[in-house]
Amino acid sequence: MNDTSSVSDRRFRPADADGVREVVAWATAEGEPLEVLGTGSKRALGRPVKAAHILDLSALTGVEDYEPAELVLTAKAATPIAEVEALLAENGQEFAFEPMDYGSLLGGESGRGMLGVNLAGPKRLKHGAARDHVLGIHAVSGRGEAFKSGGTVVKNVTGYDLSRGLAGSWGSLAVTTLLSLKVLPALETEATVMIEGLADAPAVDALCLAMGTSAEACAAAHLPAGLGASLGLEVAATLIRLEGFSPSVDYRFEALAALMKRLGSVSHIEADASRALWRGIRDVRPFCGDALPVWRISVTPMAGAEVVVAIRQTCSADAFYDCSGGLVWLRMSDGEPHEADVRGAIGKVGGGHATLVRAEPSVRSSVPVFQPQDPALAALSRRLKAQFDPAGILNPGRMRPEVKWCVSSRGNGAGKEALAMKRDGLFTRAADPQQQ
Amino acid sequence: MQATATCIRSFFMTPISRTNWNGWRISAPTILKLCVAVGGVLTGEHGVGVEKRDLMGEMFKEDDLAQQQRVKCVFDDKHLLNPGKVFPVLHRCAELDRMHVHQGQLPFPDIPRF
Repeated sequence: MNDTSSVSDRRFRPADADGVREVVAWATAEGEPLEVLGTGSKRALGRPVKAAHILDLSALTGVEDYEPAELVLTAKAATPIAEVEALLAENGQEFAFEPMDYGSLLGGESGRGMLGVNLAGPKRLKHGAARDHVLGIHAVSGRGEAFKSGGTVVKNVTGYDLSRGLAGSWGSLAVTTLLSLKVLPALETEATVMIEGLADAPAVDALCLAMGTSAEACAAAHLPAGLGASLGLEVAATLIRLEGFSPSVDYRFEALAALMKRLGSVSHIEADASRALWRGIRDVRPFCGDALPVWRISVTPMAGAEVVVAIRQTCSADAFYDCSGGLVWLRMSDGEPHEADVRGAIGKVGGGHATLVRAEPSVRSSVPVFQPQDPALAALSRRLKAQFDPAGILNPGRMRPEVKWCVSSRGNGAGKEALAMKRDGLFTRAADPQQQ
Repeated sequence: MQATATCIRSFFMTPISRTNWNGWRISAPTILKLCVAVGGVLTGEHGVGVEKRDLMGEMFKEDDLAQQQRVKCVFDDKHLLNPGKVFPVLHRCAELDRMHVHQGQLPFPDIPRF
């Protein structure tokens, strides 16, 4: 741990988990906020953090334990994902959830952390996300206390599963130092069914149709004409991915091709080309290389094309579809985020989530990056933050503008929380004497 | 009961009677402690409840359990839902908070503490 006597901007780079605990304990005692980083590969995602000091976890690297026969891997929190994937590949295994790499989209290097962002890839449809593969963690809460949750076994329901709860918390609840993940054997081969020339709405219908068959597709995406150029596609391509043993993949390919050929010209993309193609979709390659705002929109799959039509009524945008239409990657053409139009369109199609994945820092600090929560959920989120990080020192401002309602770690913040709830309109008029 | 990736199921082959119930009560914690000692967990399917509650200390330290109890406080700060299950030591939510010590100074040091 570095010298902590001065309170000017510092970069702490602890060598081990105990060092992380010391830094966080100091920051808690002094009320000095910390920005928690691996290498900063996803720093441009989320609201800009308002913190004077940096907690740099990049020294926490290395695979601590890997037992291929037990299908479990334990690694320190900032181990490069590519390094772990290479080790798994040597043993014929993989992360089934195919964690995406935000590096090229955000213009940074390849990433390290996966749990805080709850990374996933196109195979999320079948295999879930990082949240569904984490077995246990060691972490340091914002109180400066080291704790563990879960274990290294797949079947485990002992106590509360805090590991999954921390997935998608963007480092705002606790600093993970070590995590155990479930790994699976890499499947023998894969193939992709490509239907050419469909418009967005019929393409999403085709994807949903394919997902409803017994072909057991593991990913389903649609790239409109013009967006697939960086992936070697010249026309609009509707893609359905099959994986498994080769006789099974061949059989399922034939069954699916027979079903789809009435919709358009069907072609076969063989294993290596298919892997490369889906890796490009996973990393949002069609939108890499420029700086226009990019939204990641989650809606029900059948509403995927509909939400894009609704957005295009008021602004111009490019879009492609993953997760059978349930995940829309949207790039705004004029450089403005058009938050009201995007969130309004989602409301019109029955609800969902929109995250502003790429935008200038000034935009990210003024536009809500994450989907605003309704008052009851927001109150629960605040209480959770108060229990993990009562001093509000971990990544303040990353998920939402922080109000200093939980500055004190004395008491459980109930009085200050009541003030925040009042601000959000959670108290009724009758219960609020000031409004009477 | 779980040990590494394997599921161990303990059951007694004799009909249920007071004698073998006691035998189960005595032997089950021994089996579970062994499971935890070799890297396994207390339960893989049915949760902790009351029966395995007092063994939670085998798997978790005080800070681990306190953090889980704080999550309970988020949803149920008055402990109205299944009090006495899962956690071996009951705490009121305020007890789980620590005193804030700033630059080695206790707040209000002149107030007597007990």
